[in-house]
Amino acid sequence: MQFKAGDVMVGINVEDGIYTLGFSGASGKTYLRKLICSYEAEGHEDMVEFTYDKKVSSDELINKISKLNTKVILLDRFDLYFDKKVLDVCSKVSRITLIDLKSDSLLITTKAKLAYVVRDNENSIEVRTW
Amino acid sequence: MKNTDFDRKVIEKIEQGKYQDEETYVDRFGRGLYCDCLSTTSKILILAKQDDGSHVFMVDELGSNGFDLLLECENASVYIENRLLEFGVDGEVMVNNEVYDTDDAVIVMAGGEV
Repeated sequence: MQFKAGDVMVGINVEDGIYTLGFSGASGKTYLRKLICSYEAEGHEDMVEFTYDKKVSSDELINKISKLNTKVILLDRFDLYFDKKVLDVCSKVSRITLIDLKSDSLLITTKAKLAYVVRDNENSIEVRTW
Repeated sequence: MKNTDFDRKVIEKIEQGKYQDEETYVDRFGRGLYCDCLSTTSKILILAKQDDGSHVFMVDELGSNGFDLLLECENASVYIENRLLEFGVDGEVMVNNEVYDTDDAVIVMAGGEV
């Protein structure tokens, strides 16, 4: 799955499922979220991102997600507003759910697989498993 | 950012870039960026190094590639959740399943120094 945000080609090259994006700093997680945000702002509905500063409750978030028919949902800093119900809804409405967690304590609960953000050059960013 | 060996090391190790001046750095692709584009891990490390112990830094917020540099922040107070922490022999500590030497760090648990 690929899309272009500005000059940057974004590839979400993982199979359907729930993934966490690793725990290494400066890998590009925040950058990826910003790219999806700008892509969304252009009116596309197949990629969606949420982060903690949007200040929505779990029920509001579920309500928003439930209306979507999307391919990828990115939940940035999900450890700060973690709710298993949100993840369950994401799995139903989206093919791929990417969650950014700052620690591994929620990995068992989320049953997320590990994926990595890879930046091979300035104009591309990719999510993939090894 | 300051023009110090530590801040330069943070930019080189975490960002894989180069320090340019107090406000900018060059990223791994050779692009000049303002320091607000630094990763959370780099921001924590740079602030922790300058801290006088008056703030507490949560290890949870730090990327796994930044902990060895955090141990060089001799004046910073760092909060590590119990579940992330195990003690080994010879001053080693295991955080998030990685082993670190704590010669330069003082670890305090429940009010008592270890």
